[in-house]
Amino acid sequence: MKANTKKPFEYSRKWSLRLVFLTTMVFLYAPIIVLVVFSFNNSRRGGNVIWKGFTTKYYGKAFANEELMLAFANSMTIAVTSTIISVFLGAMTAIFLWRFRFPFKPLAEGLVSLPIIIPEICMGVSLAMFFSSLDLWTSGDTPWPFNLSNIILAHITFSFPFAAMVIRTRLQNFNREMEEAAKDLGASEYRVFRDILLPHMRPGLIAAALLTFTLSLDDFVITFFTSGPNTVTFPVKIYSMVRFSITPEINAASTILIVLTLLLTFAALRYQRITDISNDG
Amino acid sequence: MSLENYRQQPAVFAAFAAPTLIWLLLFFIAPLGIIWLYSFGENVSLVDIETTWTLDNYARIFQPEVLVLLWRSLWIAGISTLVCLVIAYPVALVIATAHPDKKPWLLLLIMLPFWTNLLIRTYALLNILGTRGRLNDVLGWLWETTNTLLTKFGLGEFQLIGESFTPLKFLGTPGGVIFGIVYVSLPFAILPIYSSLERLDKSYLEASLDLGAGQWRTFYHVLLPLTAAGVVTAGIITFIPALGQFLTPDLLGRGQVDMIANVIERQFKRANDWPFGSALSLFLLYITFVLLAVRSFYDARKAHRS
Amino acid sequence: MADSDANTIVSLNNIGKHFGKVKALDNVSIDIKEGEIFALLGPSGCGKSTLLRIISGFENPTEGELLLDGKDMTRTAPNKRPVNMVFQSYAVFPHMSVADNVGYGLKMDKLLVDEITTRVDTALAQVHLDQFKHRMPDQLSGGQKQRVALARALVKQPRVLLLDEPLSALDAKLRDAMRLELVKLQETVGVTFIIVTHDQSEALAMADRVAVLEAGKLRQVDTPTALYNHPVDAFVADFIGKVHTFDVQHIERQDNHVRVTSDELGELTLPLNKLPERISTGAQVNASSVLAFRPEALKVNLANEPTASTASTETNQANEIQLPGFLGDIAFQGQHSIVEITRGDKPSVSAIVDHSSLSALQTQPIGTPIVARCALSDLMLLPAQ
Repeated sequence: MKANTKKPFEYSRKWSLRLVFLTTMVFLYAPIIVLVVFSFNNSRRGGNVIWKGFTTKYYGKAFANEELMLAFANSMTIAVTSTIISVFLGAMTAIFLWRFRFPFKPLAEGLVSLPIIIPEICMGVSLAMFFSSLDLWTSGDTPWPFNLSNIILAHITFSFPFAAMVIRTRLQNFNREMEEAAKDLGASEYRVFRDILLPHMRPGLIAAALLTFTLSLDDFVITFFTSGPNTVTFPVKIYSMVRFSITPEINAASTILIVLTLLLTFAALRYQRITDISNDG
Repeated sequence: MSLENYRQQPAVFAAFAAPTLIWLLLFFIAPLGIIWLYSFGENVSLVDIETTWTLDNYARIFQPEVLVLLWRSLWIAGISTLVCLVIAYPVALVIATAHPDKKPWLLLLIMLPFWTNLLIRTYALLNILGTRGRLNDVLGWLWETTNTLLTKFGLGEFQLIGESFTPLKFLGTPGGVIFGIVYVSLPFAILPIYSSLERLDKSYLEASLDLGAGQWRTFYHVLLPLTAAGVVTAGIITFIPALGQFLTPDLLGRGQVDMIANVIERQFKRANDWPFGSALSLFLLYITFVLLAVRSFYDARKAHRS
Repeated sequence: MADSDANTIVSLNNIGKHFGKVKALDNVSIDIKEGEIFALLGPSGCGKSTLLRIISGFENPTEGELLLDGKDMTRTAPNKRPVNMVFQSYAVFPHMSVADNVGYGLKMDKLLVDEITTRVDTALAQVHLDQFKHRMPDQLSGGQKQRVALARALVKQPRVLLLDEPLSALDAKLRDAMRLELVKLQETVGVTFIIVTHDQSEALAMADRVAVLEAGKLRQVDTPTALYNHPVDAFVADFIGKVHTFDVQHIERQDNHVRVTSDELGELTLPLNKLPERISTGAQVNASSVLAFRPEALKVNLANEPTASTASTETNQANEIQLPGFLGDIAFQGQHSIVEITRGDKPSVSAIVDHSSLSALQTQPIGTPIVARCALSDLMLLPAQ
């Protein structure tokens, strides 16, 4: 018999909490929506203070901006390359941490997660000093795309631990009896890996690829430090445009990147059921 | 099924472990090692640094103007973290107690802005926080509405809320920077609290309510203590990146609200004082390690108790 | 040492397995005959699964040897043994169709596509899954997945089929049906089955012979009836069905009988064949033995009711013992009922009573004085451990 008629966990139905939630959503989304809306604002000066009518001309301007488009091409090249290598390296990391018991394992785990935790600026600065002390691809006259090498190396360094984390979570619910069953039926170690483990890992690999792609595309700070004078990425280019003068063109360029991120997120959702989000906490 | 001992298949183990460890050694530990050496060095020419094991660079951290900077960075990051936690808890609570079908979508709503480029999110705030920006528009409209209402009630001539609306200045003030840091780091705070609420055994709350405690008392005496670990984690993983923020103070602070990262950046990009920049970077890294140690100490104590 | 006569298919000789300091298996020797259903039975952690994994090749024994079909295969890789396994979780590959699952082992053997198809079809027909050939595992029930696992192992035509807790994941009704089906399937294919189980009723119902293991040691290998009627010790007696035990204070061997003294049951004279070899006798007190009987050996009467062999003493010197007590709870079980006999501060005993004897008891209130009797021929004298 219950003296209290209130249901225990009904916090989500309290109007005050709902109001906090809604306000937070407005807080999170309003700036982005305003940015997107003002990318269609027909105004030249300072651009985006007052609404002056609808236009798409700034998208045309952004697409015609050769430097911006080169920066975009650079960003895509960096993202694709670093994603491929990060997923490969992340998968190796995930497998050895998941599969084996070995001395100093907590140390190895800590080391792998460190690039995720330490402040971006520390990593950016240290990598910048590393490349300049080795004099690697810093002269500015290396041909494309090799001039992007150190940005790619930096991106792999901060994104493969994320890939390893995602893939390891997937491996954690692999039933080792599957592996034994395959061996029992006559499969060699290699066949077990190819026929059983790899298909199991596939969703994790795809999720990891989409995550590292997004991380690479989004990074500003580390790229800002490791990029040479002639190697500008999309975010770094936008940054220098913002520092120079604020124009609707920046809004248009930003919107392009936002749309790209949205597309990637929904692609990720196609491979990972939406319910997985709430399950891995 | 248990883990395999690496000795059973040393070759397979080495083949999988070596690339990772070599990569980290080469592109993570070695770079940190280089700035560690630089932090004990002196500029001998424009680009050459000699490691003389001087402690001057570290001593400079304790000069008054740098201490002012450190203190500002700490309190701005601290207040931003607190604000984040205060907003994050109710938001996490709403998500954790929502209908299971809605939960993942609500979480997606929280994470979506987080996937958007940090630079773009910070840039978006420029439009919001300007003196003629959207936030001041909203505040101005609120002032107008209140004023109209007051006039209707015959209180117009007393000018209770000022003679006219003066737009507030956010850009270039600590308030604007805090607004920006809260904006970019809110998801960091929500997710750990959400997952600690998720893991909570709901029967504790039922028991508390069943024993006659109200919703608020249940919150204070049962819910909050049981999710304290999640709140601490949320606090630390919000505070660490907040302390190292570069973009927010750079774009929203307009050079008037510098934090550690801005000064570090200046040493490398403009002042060309790499040794001091290195020392400052490592100092930031050490603060991070101390915070992580505090967290694992907290976890260990909690594990010991249970 | 077991000699490997033609009839023996698996021969385990002095197998030992240590995990660090833990002895999972200690000097276990078993011969398993061709074409039989053999059960490895024991409580969890007894080492039965480790033994199965040694036969399949997923574990190597620390000591001892394993002969499969007369050949030493102690350290042969699992994929090189004429042995296949049905895993506890079934381990049906989720990304392959039923036919691909069953054909996987044949593909590994590099057989021709046509032969694979034919053999897969035959195997699926054997487990009545012909209709499900193109289904994916997530469209199958637990029982159907188990059939896939069975077909997948049998299609390789192994000399021995290993089944790890084959019925534990099924619900009660399906379990009984599957028990029968597994026995029938074994009769059809004629392959030796080795089944690991912790459920004694499962082992007794299915197996031709059962090995009882406890704490890494082999206790007894025998047919189900022999295990039930002639357990080698109190552990086996208790594990295979219910048993009541009474401490024994003194055992003395005389010319053609044994005199046993028990505080509770008094002095008894048993025939010599009741004395197991492992019990040492002599004038000295031997506390490591027990007298035991099973609940169905007890006959229950009201205390004042005259019986065929009325006696006022506790122990009838002729051919039975008597335990006076009071009527406790009666639990109806369908065919029979279980009657609890409380005995003051002594542990209560239970008796299995059929309907004809029940009617007299049913009308009586709880606490009515009653007498339980057990024939001496139903008493077992067993080592306590």
